[in-house]
Amino acid sequence: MNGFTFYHLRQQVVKYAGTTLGLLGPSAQLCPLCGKTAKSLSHKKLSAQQAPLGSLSPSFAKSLCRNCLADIPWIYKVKCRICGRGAVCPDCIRRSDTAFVLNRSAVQYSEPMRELLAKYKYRGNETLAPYLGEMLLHPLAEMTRELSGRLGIRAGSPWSEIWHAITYVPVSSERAEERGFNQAEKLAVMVSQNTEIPLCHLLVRLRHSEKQSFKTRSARMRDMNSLFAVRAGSMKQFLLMHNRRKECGAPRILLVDDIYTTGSTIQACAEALQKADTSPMDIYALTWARS
Amino acid sequence: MRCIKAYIYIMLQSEYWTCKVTIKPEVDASFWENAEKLLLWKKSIPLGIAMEIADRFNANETNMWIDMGIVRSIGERTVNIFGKWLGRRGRRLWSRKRKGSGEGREEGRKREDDQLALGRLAEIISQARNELNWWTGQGMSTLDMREALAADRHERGGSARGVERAPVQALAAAAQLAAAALQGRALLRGEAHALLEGTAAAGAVPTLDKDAALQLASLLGLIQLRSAVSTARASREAGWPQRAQRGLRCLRCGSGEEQLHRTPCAACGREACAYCTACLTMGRSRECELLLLGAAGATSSSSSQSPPQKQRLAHWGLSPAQAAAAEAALHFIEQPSRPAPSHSTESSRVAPTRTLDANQTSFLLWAVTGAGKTEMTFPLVESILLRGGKALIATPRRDVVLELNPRIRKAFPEYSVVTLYGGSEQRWEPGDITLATTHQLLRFHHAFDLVILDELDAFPYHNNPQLHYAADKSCAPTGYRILLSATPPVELQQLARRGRLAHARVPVRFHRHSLPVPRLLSTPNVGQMLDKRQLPRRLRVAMLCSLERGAQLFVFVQRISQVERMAQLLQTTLNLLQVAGTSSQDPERVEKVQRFRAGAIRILVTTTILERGVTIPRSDVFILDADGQLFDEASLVQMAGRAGRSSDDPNGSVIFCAKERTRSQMMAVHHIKKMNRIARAKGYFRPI
Repeated sequence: MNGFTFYHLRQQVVKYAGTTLGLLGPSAQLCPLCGKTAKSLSHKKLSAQQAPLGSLSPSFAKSLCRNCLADIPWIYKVKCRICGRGAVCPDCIRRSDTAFVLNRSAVQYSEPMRELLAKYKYRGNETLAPYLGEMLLHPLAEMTRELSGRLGIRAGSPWSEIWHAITYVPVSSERAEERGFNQAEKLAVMVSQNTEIPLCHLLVRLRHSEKQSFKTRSARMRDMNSLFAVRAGSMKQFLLMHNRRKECGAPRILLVDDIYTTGSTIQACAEALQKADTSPMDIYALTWARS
Repeated sequence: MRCIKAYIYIMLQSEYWTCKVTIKPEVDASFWENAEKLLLWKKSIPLGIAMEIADRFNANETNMWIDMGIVRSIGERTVNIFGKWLGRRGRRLWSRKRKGSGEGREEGRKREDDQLALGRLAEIISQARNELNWWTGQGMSTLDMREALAADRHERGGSARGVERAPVQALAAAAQLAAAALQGRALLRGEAHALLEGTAAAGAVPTLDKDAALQLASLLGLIQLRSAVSTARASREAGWPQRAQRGLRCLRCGSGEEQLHRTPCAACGREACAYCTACLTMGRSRECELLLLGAAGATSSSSSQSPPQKQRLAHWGLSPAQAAAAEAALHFIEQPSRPAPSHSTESSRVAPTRTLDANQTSFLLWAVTGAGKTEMTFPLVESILLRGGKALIATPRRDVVLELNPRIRKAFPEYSVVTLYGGSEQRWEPGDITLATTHQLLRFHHAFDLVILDELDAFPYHNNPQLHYAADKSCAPTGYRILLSATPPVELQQLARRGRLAHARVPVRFHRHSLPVPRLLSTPNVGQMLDKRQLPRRLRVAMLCSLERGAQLFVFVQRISQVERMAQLLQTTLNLLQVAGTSSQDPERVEKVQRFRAGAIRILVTTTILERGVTIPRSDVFILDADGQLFDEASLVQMAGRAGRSSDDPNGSVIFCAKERTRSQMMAVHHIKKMNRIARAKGYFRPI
């Protein structure tokens, strides 16, 4: 209707006036997580914030609105040394043969986080990937600090010296076609870009399993057998590269996934990786949420 | 939903090559039985690119045949390219053709045409590869569709496990059913499948491949298959340079490039496959995703045998002001002849180009708060239904849809009513009257003869071009739009004043009493009140007065953070327990509003979230910080509209509390006074 001509005209005016004014005043961006125009924290308040914002780039905290930032239930204190839970964990006591060293997650899987992950994973809002990926830097920094202490590596040395490769939990080709992307791969790419740890595509998923979220714990465990396999070519290349290095310890690999629930997915992937080579590897899981 | 593989083929029919896109080559092969030649490009191609290639091929076609001479002279070059891309099989064909010069001349010419057409296709495809940044892998080649089909059938016949292909007649019937079910809809492939599954008719042929039915329906011209995000065809039709920047647009919500986001796509394999971020909540609209557009669903006939307007209006029991406006609107939508839409019904028209004829089909019902807008629309809906058409009432909020549903059903017992909102169970049902939240409009395409848009100026319409596009798109080209608002946006007001937008004003409430005029009260701002922990004396007195006369109080503040603290302050200073505060972030909002409605809460402190929709019989309104930025004229008028809603208590009081007098406040008062003046002049007030 004709109103809409004017409507669009006004839109244009508002848009351009907005950009011009935007140059003068503080910019009012849309928050990438909730999509609303909301103020971010001021510089002063930002610096007053505790870790983990310290390990994230300042642009991250600045681009989110304060409500979304406040909603993030960061895991500060790890209670279970293995799975990185914020609480004591019966699963890890029960388990005896973990193929991975430990897991660390960025956030608790709270309701707002569940919604956020659903937006990204199921609705397909891929614009969220950089933000979720960046959130992984916090547990990675913690993990790196812990590890460099244990290994006796200087604290300031680059992360790519400590981590030899970063890989991710693969999805089946059916799922990839349906969804259009692999949510874990995108997160791994983001981490790799931010840290310069080389990204290796080491794993494939052999068959298409039902959605994990519909299954019980024991069903998940059963299902995971031989679900994953190693990409022989990439693995060989990675091992070659690794063995060429001088210090020939066990390779330390970061395994990225979106969510750690019982750890069965991570366990299955780690087992597949371990089988690929006679000498053991140290596999560290890095997940976005711990449920 | 899983993305779809598309194929392209070229077809020779009466010496004319056309390129087509299909999602089920088998269907096309049997459909074009009489074509002289059918050549299928063996590799599947991402849908968006396939459409683009077909467009380019067909656009070139006309020019090609005009310049036939030139083409023949450069034929050698084209064929070379063709040989390069076609791979082994193509080269073999080519060399065989060279050798087989002894064959009949006629035969030779035909084959040469084949090569030319194929060459051109190969060239366009390779062009597309470069320009659209798309990588297919090697081994591109074509094959004869019918031969391939025959071979395929043979193979299947040989093996016992082969599924028998659906008989032609059953497929045709399924296509007809699918087309009927998709009438007036704009659905992504997954949604279309869900729709076909849900409709009882299609359930009769469950084993049939739905894609095959859809493909056949599109070949029959009953539906259109489009790539959900694709180049706006309008730009080409308008004669813009073809090579201009490839502007993509989401065909479902009309968003342009700035709303599109390109990512590597695992489904179609492209490095940069665009999806629309604007309508993501309704399922992902993507370049390689199929959008199905049904035929126009509108069926109203203009020759009506219905009784005269006055007679029809009478039984709705409208007030004089309502009746006058409804009559004007009725007159508008029943005008005997109207100019045929100047545009074609092309769906991908760009929003701004569509506007010239659009205002001829829109009618603004500018009715004050509490005027009874819903009742006024009943005669309009009736008019459309009597002519066999379909009507839609769209409102921003889900609770309004739910509240409207029983009223509509009661008013039109013999017609089917469908309610649509997120999570609605009637998602795929057709109905005579559709009640929907605004976002649901995205799923319609030329479906309704009458589209009634409620609260046009409210969230989410306000500043949302997608929803405006959707509202336009859902209306049939011959249909009408009724815009309802108590506070229309300035642009619409201007258009109405200039006589470019048909409109009717309802300046009086249904109970025929005047609107309460706001009183301005000078007070400190809310922040100061909260800091000092005391209410200004005059405000306190005014509130106590209201409480004394038994009214319930709306107290509006600007910020969510002030709501709770203000509620506490009121509780202590007024010495009253039944005070509550609520905002958009309050999980108990619905409950609190219900208790307020029931009278269990006397004072409700809130933000603009409750400026519309909540009606309390005996209520007074206090707007604190009325000079604040968040309260513009429209929202002040809406908030003031919460008072004096019932005929038992028509003179509720409205008080603007502010430190300063702002333009918004003065304009709001002016607006209300003006409406009262008009009502008085027209004699709409109840005689005392």
